[in-house]
Amino acid sequence: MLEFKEVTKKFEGNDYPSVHKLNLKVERGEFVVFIGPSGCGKTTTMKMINRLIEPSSGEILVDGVNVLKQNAVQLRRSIGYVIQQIGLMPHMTVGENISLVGSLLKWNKEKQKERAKELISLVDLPEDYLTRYPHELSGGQQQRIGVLRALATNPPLILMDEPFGALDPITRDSLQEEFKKLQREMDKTIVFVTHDMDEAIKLADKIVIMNKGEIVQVGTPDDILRHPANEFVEDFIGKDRLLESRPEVTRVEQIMNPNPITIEEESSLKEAIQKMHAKRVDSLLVVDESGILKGYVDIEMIDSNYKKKNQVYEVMDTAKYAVDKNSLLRDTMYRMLRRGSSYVPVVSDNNKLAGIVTRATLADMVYNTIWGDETADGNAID
Amino acid sequence: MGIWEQLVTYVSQNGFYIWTEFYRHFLMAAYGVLFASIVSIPIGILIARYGRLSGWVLTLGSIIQTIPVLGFMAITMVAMGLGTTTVVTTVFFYSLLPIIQNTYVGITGVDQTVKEAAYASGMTRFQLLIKVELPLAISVMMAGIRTALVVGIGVVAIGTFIGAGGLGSIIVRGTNATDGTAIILAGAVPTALMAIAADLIMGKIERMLNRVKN
Repeated sequence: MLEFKEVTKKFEGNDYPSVHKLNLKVERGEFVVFIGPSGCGKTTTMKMINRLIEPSSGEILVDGVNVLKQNAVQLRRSIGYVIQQIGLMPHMTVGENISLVGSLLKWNKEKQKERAKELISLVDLPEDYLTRYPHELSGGQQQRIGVLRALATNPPLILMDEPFGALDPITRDSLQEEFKKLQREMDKTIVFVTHDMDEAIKLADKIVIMNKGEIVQVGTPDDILRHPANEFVEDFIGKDRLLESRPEVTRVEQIMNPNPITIEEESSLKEAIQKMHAKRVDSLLVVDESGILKGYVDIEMIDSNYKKKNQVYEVMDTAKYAVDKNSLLRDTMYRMLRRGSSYVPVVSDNNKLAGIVTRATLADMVYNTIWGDETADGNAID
Repeated sequence: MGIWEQLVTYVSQNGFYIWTEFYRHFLMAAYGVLFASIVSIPIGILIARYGRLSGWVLTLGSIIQTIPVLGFMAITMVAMGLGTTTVVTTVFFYSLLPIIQNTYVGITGVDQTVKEAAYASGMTRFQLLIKVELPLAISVMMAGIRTALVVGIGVVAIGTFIGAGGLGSIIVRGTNATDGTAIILAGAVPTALMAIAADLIMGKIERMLNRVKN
């Protein structure tokens, strides 16, 4: 799909090349993340693919054809592009922004509109947003549109330059999730540049670590976490070392408490408060008779509604923020810490409650990593 | 008779004459600005793209602005003779700087990331100009044309000295007449009103063209 052969880029006036003899092969459908400190040449490498920057020597092949042998404008129209600053056209509506490349390719208006409607439904934004202007949208919504613009003409290859870097952590998190899902469904080849290791680990099929214009290590996230090539890579992934030292614990299912304290939605508030008292907790997960997670109820909600209402389902919060039991532990852990939530319910298929991960669970994990596992269950890990 | 009655009498007796001069005055200013726009906007676009030229062009424009209008008109007259052509030419030269400058500022002021995104999406240079840069710069460019028109109306008032007519000739007639204050006002007030009206109307157009809603 994409291949770099001995690619070098030296900018005039610089003593050292920004990218030096880079060789890399990217397969169709792969999600490749370039990562490294600023000035390591990752963005330059990416921009050489659609000829925003031209290589000094070497070849870049897209589908076997050297990009320098193609018309630059046609080439750019055939490759999606997303940047950190989003860069939506402020004088065009959201719909026109999404159809930008389509309009350049002289699609007829009907087709453009059709495609814009199709795309906006993918990111769960209402259709009437198409007639609004970008400044009416929040940063996260704008970047969703930025991503849709890149997807509009269904290009097989998409370049992304720190697309979620300027968003707040929670928005970034949900956009990453959404985007990874989209990518899997649409089978796109993605070249993604970032300096955030968490992001790289979460999204990448293949991580390319760069430093001073050269590739330091290429591998899957697991490869890189378990076998860092040298000290530079180790420093770069530093934060993940605690988890790395227990490589067999990777899924939420392995550490969750499988017996969360729950209450059925038809129960009365009195029962709820008794249960809280008996189990010494301040909130309960609400489930229906077949064990499907419905929401949660905490002591504050009961306290402020005790006189007015009787049933749990009348006062519970239905915001069902939960993780799948098969999701990776490191993602869940960072998400929990970032959101500042004290626990997160774990669900299996069909939203059936399977367990709970609390901050205490995480504390246990870190404790076990540091002190060994003997005290916990007798199975020492070396 | 007080000045007020004199003014009313003069205007009622010479209403058509004042209107003719008003119209003539406006046309001279408008033509000068129109021709200047035709020349200046491409120059502004050009220097916005090739930054090195911008210093020279803007300096030249500023130098023209520093020459007193009367002196400039006198020199132009030597080359082009008496009459309206010379006045229109003078307005033309005085309009160059504001229009070039605003075109330049408008286009260089377009958000770099918007341009990068448009360019990377596969726009040609020309499409980038027509679809992104001009639409986003148009209101700033209009502000330049507005300034040029207001300045032009002032310049034309002096055109009477080289026989071009306009409201300036009513003012000069008043200064030559004994007790001509009312006649001076009959020329000066419409000139001022024209400048104010031009400013307001152009301002309105400018806001209408501003497509970047905030």
